Amino acid sequence: MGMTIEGGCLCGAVRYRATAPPVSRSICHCRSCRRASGAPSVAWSTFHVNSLVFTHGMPVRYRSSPDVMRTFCGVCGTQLTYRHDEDVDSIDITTATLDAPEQFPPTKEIWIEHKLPWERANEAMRHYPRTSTG
Amino acid sequence: MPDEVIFEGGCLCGEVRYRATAEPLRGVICHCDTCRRHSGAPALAFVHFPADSFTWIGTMPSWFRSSAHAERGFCARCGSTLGMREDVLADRVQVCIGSLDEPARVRIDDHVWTRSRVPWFDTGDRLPRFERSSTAVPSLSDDG
Repeated sequence: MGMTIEGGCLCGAVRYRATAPPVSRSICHCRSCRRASGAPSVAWSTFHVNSLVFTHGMPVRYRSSPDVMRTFCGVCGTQLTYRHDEDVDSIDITTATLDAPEQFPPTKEIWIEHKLPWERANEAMRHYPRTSTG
Repeated sequence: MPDEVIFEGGCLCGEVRYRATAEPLRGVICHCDTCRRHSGAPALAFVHFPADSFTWIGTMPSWFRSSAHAERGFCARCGSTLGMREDVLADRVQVCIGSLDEPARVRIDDHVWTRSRVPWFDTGDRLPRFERSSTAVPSLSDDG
């Protein structure tokens, strides 16, 4: 039996579907994620790039640093994906744009170095000063 | 002469910038479905500046009408989530705290729409929590 995970932006102009569960789930406290989302921190679900397809519309791309591409809905502005050029097999989806975000709790918090002082880290998760790889 | 209060901020790419010359009226963390979906984050936080203290600089945000009484602002170039405007709070500009150049300078007063909170996300503070809107501001019954 196949697994289908769906999500999309606030206005519905962009929709996506994943055919396999995320390979990892994190909360990122970095300054760029904060600036892009407007929120204190962002939750990401990382999928294998071959398991994710856009089923309606396509997001707008913005290169937020030399090796990072973020995308968003051009109609409503919802932040949708993150890709790092060196990690060609992965695409991160904003967990909050999944239709059932409650089913995908993060297991780790990254970029704790940039965390806002009034946001407390969740002691049940693993913490990393910067990225959780390398 | 007292030091002038200045808060500045803008989007990730710098196309949209703003400046406020007063302390925020209020800071709030919102857990509603609309804020979560629009930002892509588990919860969104805002500070409210008095409208007469606030100026957009450079390119204006794009506005998306998310309900009958609210609009959501974002940068058309980089997609950064910038703020919200509501008819019922026309005396103020609500900007997302992540857009501030120095977000640690602002204070958060309470949490709203906790009935919609995603179960695995909490900020661990002891601030007042409201299942729907805060009693600190006028509001309509619906979220948006």
